Amino acid sequence: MVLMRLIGKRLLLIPISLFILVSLSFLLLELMPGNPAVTIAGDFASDSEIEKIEESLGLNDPLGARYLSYLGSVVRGDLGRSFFSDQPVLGELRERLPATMELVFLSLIVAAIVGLFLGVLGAYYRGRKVDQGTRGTVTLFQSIPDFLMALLLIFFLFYLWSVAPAPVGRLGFSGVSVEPITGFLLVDTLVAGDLNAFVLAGQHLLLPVLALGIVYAAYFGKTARSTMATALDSTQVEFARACGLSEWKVVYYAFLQARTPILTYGAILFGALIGGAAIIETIFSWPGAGSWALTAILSLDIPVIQGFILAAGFVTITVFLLLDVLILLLDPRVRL
Amino acid sequence: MGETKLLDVRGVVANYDSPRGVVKAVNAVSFSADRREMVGIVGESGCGKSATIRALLGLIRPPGKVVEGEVLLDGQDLLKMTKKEIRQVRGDKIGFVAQNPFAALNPIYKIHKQFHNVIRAHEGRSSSRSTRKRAVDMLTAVGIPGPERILDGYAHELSGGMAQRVVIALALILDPELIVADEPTTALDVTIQRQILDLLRRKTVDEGRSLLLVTHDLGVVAQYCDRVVVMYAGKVVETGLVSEVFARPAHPYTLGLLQSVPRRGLKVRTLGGRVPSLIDYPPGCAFADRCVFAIDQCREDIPELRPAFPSGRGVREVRCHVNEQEVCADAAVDR
Amino acid sequence: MSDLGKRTLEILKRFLSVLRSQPAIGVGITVVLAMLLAGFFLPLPYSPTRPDPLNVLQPPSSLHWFGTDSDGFDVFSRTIAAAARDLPLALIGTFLSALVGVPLGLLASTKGPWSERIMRGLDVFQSFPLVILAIAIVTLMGNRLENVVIAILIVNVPRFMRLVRSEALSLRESRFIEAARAVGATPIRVMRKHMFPNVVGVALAQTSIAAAQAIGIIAALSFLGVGVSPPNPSWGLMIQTGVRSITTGDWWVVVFPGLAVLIAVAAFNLVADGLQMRQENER
Repeated sequence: MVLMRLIGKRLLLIPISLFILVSLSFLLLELMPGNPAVTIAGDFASDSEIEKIEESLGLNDPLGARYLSYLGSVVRGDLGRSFFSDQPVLGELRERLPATMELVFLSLIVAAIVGLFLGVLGAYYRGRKVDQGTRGTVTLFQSIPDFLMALLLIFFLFYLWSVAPAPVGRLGFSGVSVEPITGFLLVDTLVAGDLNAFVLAGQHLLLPVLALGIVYAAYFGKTARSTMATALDSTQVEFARACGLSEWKVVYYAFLQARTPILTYGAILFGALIGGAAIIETIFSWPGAGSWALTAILSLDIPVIQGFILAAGFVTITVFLLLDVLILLLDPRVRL
Repeated sequence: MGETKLLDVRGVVANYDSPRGVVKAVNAVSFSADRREMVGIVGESGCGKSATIRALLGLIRPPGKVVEGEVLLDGQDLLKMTKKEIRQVRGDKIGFVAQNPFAALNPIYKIHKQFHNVIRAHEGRSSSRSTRKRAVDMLTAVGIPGPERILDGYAHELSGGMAQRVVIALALILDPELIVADEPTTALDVTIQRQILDLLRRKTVDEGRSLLLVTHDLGVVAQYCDRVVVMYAGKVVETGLVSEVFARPAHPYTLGLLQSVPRRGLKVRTLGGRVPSLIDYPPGCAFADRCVFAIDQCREDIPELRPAFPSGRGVREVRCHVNEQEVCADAAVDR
Repeated sequence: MSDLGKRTLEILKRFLSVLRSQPAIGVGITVVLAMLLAGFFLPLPYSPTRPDPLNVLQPPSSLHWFGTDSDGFDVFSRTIAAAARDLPLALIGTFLSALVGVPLGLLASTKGPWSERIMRGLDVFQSFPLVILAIAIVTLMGNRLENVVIAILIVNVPRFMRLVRSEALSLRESRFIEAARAVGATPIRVMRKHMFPNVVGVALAQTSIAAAQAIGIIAALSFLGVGVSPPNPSWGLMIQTGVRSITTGDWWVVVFPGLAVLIAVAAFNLVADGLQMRQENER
C-alpha cells in the first residue's frame, strides 16, 4: 500500500538523521573552547594533574581517532561514561528520560486542550469582545517565563493554599518506591495496582505540568486562533452553512481544515517543551534528563551532553515521524 | 401577479465595517423572482451581487450586517427569522451553488458523508443506506456516471465539471424551491460551462424551481435567464424580462454593458471610468461620472427605483432620472 | 525640503498612522522605552550592588518599596537597575539577528538547489530546544555578556531567514514582480525596491516576537547563573536568589523581578500582536 511505502521511506531517514546528529554533536563539542579536564580538576589543580586527567579521558588522542571510536561505541550501545560521576551514560538516560517524557507529554496535553479552547473561542468570535478577552489572556500567559510560572504556582498552590505537595521530586519525601517498568510513574503505579502511589505521583505532577502547560497553552492558542480564523473564513465553511449544517458541525468542518497546521505546531512545541522541562526540573528537583543535561552543560561533562543531544534528537525525530504518519492518515489529499 | 412571486426582496441594506469606513455593500436592493423563473443578477465585480445573495441566506458575518429590508420567501421574511429557523431554510428551501466547487466541498470527508451530513442536519437521524440511495439518485439526475464510485471517493479526485455537478446535487438533495448560484461556471472550462448551465436550467425551471444566477457574463444571462436584475455600486439600476431589457435598455449602464459586448456588425463601445468607492458615496447617482446621458439632477439626487416602459411586457423598473426612451433610442441607432 | 528630509517625514507620518490604527503598538513601545529610561537614568534609593546585611528579607515597606532579599539587597533598586542590562542585551541581540537574518533570508530566496538544502538543514534547529542551545553556547564559549548576544543570534538568525525566505518566495510569485522583471529590472533592483518593503512588515513583527523571546531566554540564562557576573543585577538572577525564599512565603524577592520580566515581554508581545493585526486587516 502507498501508505506503507511512505512510512518505510520515513523510517529509513531515522538512522541517517541520527548519524548526522551524532557526528554534529561530536564535532560541536570537540570544537568548542573550554577544557573539561580543568573543570574536573578544580581551581587549584596543578598542570600535571590536569594532564593526567586529560590522558585518562582520552582527550589527547587525534580528532579522527576519537570520532571513529565514538561512533563505534555508539553503534554498540555504549554512550560512554560521565566525566564526573563515571556512571554509564546510557544507564542514566534510561532512568531519567521517562521522568522528563512524562512531564513533557502531560504538559503538551494540557497546553493543547487549553490552547485549543482559547484559540477556537477567539477565532469564532473574532473582532468581538470575547476575542479581545482571549487574546489578552493568551498574551499575558505567553509573557510569563515558565520558571516564573512554576515559582508563582508553588507560592499560591503549595505555600498559601496547600493544594499541592512540596516541590521535591516525583514522589516527594513519602519514601514510596515503585517498580520501574515503563518509567512513567502514572502507568507503573496503575500496573502495580498501587493506587496510593498513583495519587501521590499525580499530586507531584500537578504543579510542574500546570506550569509548563499554561505557559505553552498560550503559544498553542495563538496558532490555533489564526488557523481556525482562516478556516472559518473559507468558502468551504460558507458552503457548509449554506447547506444548513448546524454551527457546531460548521466549526468542526473548520477544525478539520485547521487540523494539520495545528498538529504540526504541536510537534514543534514538543521540542520547545523539552527545553522548558529542563529548567522546571531544576526547580522541582525532578530526576529527569533535562536537569541532568543542564548540570552537564554547566560542568562540561561531554559524554553526558552528547548522550542528551542524541536522546533529545531521537525523541524529536520520532515525534516528527509520528506526526507525518498521522497527517498522512488524516488528510486524503496527501496520499495521491 | 403577487401570488406567483416566490421571492420578494425589498429594500435590503447591508453594511460592512472596515477600518476605512462603512462599506455600503448592499444599498437598498429590491427585486423579485416568480416561480419557475430564472433570474440573472448581473454587474461588474464589487457591485454587490454576491453580497446580496449572501444577505438572502443570512450568510453575512461580522463585520458585516444586514440593517434594513425584507426578504420574503413564500411570504415569510427571512431576515426576521431566528438563527434556528434560517438554518432550516438553508438547504431545504434554498439551495446554494458556490463558485469554486473545490473550495466548497469538504476535502477530508468522502462525498457520501457530505450528503449524509446535509440530510441529517435537516431530517434528523437517517440511515446510511437511505441517504446513500438518495445521493445516488441525485448524482445520476445531475448527469454523473458511476455515482456509487464517486460517493466513495473524495472531492479532489473529480474533474471541475464533475465537482460542480456534485455541488449542484448537494444543493438539490433536499428539494428546495429556490436555487441561488454564485457565478457557478466562472471557475470551469468554457466547454463545461455550457453543460452546467444547461443542467441548472433543466433542474430548476423545468422542474418547477426558481433560480437566482449571479454572473458578470451578459451572454449567459441573454441565453438562459428569463429576467435580469442589473446592479451597480450596491444598487439595483434596472430590472425586467431579458428579452425586453436587452432589446430596449432603460438605464445608461445597461446600455453601456450591452454595447461593450462584441456583436456581429456592431461597433463596440466600452464604458470608461471606474466604479466609485462604496464608502465615500458621491452625492447623487453613482453612475453619473461615467454616464453620457447625465444631467445636473443626476449629480444631486439619488434616483429612486421607478417603473419604466409601462406599456411593455412584464414588470420593468429603472433607477434613473433620464427618460428611458432617450436611452434605448441610443441603442436603436446602433442597429 | 531636502530629499532625505522628505523621506524621513514620510516615514514618520507612516509611523504615526500605524500607531493610531493599532494602539497596542504604541503602548508596547512606550513601556519598553520607559523601562529602558528608568534603568539608565532613574535615581535609585539604594545601591543595586552593595547590600545591607542588617536588613535581610524585609517585606515591602515605605523604606524598601519592594523589600529586601536574603542578602540584604534592595529589591526595587536592583529591579530597576537590571533593566539597564537585560533590555539592551535583548534588543541588541534581536536587532543584530534581524540585520543578519533578513538579508540572508532574501539571498536564500533566490532560486537554486542550494537554498532548499540550506533551509532543510536549518529545519533541524526548529525542533531542538532552543533554551538549551543558548545555555550550551554561552557555557562553552565563556560566561560573558557578548556570548549571550551570540547565543541569541544563533537562535534567531535561522528563524528570520526562514520567515523572510518564505515571504520573499511567495512575493516572487506575485504579479508585480513579474511586471518589474518584464520591464527589465535586474534581480538586485527587484530585491531592493519591490520585495524589501513588503518583507519589512513581516520582519518587524518577527523582530518584536524575537525580542520578547530574547528577554525570556536571557531571564532563563541568568536564572541558571549563565552569563551573569554577581553582584550585577539581572532579573533572572534575582528570581534565582528568591527561589528558596518563595517556598517559605517571602514572595517579594521573586515577584517583583518576575513582574518586570513579564511586563517587558508583554510589551514586546503587544507590539507584535498589533503589527500582526494590522497585517490581517490590510487583506
